[in-house]
Amino acid sequence: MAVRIIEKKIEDILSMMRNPAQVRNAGTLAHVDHGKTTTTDSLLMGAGLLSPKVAGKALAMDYVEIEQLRQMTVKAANISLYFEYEGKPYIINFVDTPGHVDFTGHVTRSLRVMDGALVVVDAVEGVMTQTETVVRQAMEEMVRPVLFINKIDRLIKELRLSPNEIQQRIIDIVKDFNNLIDMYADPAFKDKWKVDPAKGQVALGSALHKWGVTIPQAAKAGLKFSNIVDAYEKNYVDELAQEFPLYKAILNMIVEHVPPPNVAQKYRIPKIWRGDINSPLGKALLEADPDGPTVIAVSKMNKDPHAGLIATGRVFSGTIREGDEVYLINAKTTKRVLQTYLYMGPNRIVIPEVPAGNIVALLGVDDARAGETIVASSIKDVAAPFERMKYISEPVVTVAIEPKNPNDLAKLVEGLKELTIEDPTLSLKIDEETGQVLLSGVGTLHLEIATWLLKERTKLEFTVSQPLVRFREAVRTSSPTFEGKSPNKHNKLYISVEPLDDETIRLIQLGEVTDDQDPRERAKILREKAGWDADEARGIWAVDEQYINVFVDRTTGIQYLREVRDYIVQGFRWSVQAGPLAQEPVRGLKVILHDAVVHEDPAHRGPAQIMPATKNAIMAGILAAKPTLLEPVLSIEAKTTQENIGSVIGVLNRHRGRVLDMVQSESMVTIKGEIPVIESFTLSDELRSATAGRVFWSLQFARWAPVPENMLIDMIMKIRERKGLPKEIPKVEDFVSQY
Amino acid sequence: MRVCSLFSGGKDSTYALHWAVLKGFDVACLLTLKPQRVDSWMFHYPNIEWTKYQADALGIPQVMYVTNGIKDLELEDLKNALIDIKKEFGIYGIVTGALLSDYQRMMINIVAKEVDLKVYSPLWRKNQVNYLVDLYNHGFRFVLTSISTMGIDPRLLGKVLTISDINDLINSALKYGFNPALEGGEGETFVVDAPLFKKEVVIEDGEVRRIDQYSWVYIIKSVSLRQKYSNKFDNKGIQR
Repeated sequence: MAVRIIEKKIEDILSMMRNPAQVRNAGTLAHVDHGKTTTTDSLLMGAGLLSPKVAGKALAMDYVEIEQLRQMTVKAANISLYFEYEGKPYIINFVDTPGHVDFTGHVTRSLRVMDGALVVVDAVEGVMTQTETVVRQAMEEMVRPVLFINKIDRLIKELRLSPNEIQQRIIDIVKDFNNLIDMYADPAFKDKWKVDPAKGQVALGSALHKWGVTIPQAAKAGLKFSNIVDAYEKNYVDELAQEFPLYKAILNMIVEHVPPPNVAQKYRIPKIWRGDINSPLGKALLEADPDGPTVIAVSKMNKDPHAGLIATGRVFSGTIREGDEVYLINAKTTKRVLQTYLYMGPNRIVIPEVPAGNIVALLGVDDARAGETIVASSIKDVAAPFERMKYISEPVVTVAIEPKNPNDLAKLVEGLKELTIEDPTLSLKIDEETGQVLLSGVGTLHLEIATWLLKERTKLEFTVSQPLVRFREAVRTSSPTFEGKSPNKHNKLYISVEPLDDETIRLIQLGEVTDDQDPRERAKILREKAGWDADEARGIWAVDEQYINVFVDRTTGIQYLREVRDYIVQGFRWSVQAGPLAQEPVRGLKVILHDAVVHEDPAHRGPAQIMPATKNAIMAGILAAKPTLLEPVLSIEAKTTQENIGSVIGVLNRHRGRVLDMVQSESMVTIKGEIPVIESFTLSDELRSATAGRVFWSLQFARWAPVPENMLIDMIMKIRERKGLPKEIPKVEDFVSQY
Repeated sequence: MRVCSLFSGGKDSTYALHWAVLKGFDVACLLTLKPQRVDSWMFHYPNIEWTKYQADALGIPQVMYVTNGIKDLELEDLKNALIDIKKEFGIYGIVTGALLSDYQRMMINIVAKEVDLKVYSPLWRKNQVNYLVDLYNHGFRFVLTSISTMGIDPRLLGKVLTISDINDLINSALKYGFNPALEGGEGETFVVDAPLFKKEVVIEDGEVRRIDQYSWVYIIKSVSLRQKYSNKFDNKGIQR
């Protein structure tokens, strides 16, 4: 199989890029195995690759082998397609979105740079958990969806549905899908963004067999469901694909229904950008003004073996050129752009400039990470970043990685660092004392993929430990106030702790309440949305966004307190990294400082005094506030047949799972429930054997839940033992000295 | 000039004494205040009993006063002690080991002024980072008798510190942000040998006690004096 190469002059390509009406930025979103890769492949094959024409030189090849291409697409951050619609040429950028559930952090970053999403749904399985997750994320990022119902062939060949039943199935899926839009879309777009098959906003087909069609197309050509069934039964699917190629149906849908970048930015910018939209910069962003100040949102960092780190992102305003001096807002550094590239298919080609509304690849901004905002250095003092990336998943599973040959350690760590650059939902920790290399991810599969990639790239031999689950420590009630003394006894902090309310936790998790926020603005949000007392909210000294904890100062007029504020905050951040029960991070804690005695002499109130004083009081507080462990819990959605319901529920029950909901549709039953991560490692094998393989399911991170009371001590002891901690759980007296 | 040296047995007061003698002061006596309270604001507590062995080793008379250790009353005690000593020894000034702490220095200055004595704080504002190394190079040997900070390994307690222990200590001071001369009360010392010591103090027995994770003390249980055989300093030049 080979792909057509379309040659165009660089000037022609540039002139298309300068006209937003001829540009679309989209991406494919899907539940795992619903056919994202095959869909993208068939678009590539159908639409062909754009290639710059070099005058007077014959092109080395006219076609690229699909296998070769697939290898490239695995690593590509973006694929640009050339498509002619009603005689007019378009550049359609397909931003890479990762296929697996565990990479949902990736999905969010990819969404930022696209205006439209092609949501792929398996006709048999219908709308699944991850479909819901990705649609919700798309709605949060104001990305307009269109729907592709894939694997229609399965309805015919496996389920043997009649044309009428197929039609009913499609109506049902569209209804489920629109329910999601109704649930998650911004009120202003709820009705506008629901997909309507009659308007050509839904395509049906089979990516495997490369055909696809929208209802208006079918109506125009007189194609009926019975014809499609016939094509399969009488073996003329190839002709169907000839007449109704999938890429045309989909790219038509995208050109017609995904807005051009300048139109989309008008409503997306106010939602996804944190700055003032009435400022000159705000206006340039709203208009996608190619002459405005340069602003780029980075969606992905890749390492090119030859060139180095490549940042892929979208130019939201201005025009980026080779040699431009740019400022990285999150990394707080100034860099020079060494080269600007345009994606042509999965390849990058050097191009002198890339105007607003397009996807660009940049060389020279090594310090950027996915989620970075890059701006022209001339506006570094006035530019606000794009809203913080909102990660729904958290790294909760950890493995230890050890090279078989100790000499390979440095290479291994380097390979891992690269992975964490590309995927910030992975986190790497190297124990300074033991040299142990720990990699954390959102799930076991996430880590399996990461270690597989590591092996592919480094070709090193290494062992991966059994996955360990990360826990959190939390309190269930308010503590009394404790006196935390500094080691020299000259400084005393009076501190109590209590649980944060759920709404505050949510606001921090969503990035609406942040550490670097204007205190008055933060107080206002907390007062209005989470019912905080106004004075208390204004007293917030620190918000720990990583583990979700807050430090509040409720003192007044304490001498020298201002001088030690930073040390107290450092002590707070240090304390919540490892709680007293099992040295797991603390989550959902509100620490309140009520009073303090601070020594007048700076020599007696350094960080080595104040940090332990803070920690002592916080630890005592936690221990006195009914502490517990929180474990990560997954939500599971399993589809099975009527007769296997009992077996599935049985497996869940054996693993402390619980069933939340059961929905019957046709012959299938969907069981929705929850199961703790720690119980999920053998789930695949058990579910398959219990149902003789007649079940498919998906898992994703749901929430942190307290471990059952009767297992608490046992679990704490297991973690302490694993970490080599003393058997005795610390007591309040260990932190509040008796003098 | 005839002076009295405030003496706690730690490195700073011993060093100040050393300075005073080298400058030609006539050190008439050592004044040691012994607080009843543990968390004294100003004066060293652990092992204060054993300073009399150091005084012996130095061959300088020692006067010990008990103070109640309460912040302001403590100064009152100091004042009374100074009045007595001034009368008994006919001194004109006092020498203190206060290093950086403005608080210590100011408080002593205020009290001394009230009883009309001059104050010499030779160590004040000295280079803090090299201080412990300088001490070592000048022949001072000391053990760590308490820790009240994050970042000092409790295994150092009770040990006569080597130059490598001292370097480790300075590195962790820079890392954890405490004073590299231990002037913020991060650790207390007990001097076992110094150029002016005619005999060496030997700690025969002691016990490490944990107060909490970052607070430890070393309680000295028995001490003896040993003749010094190779003393590169002779004490001929010292006037008494």
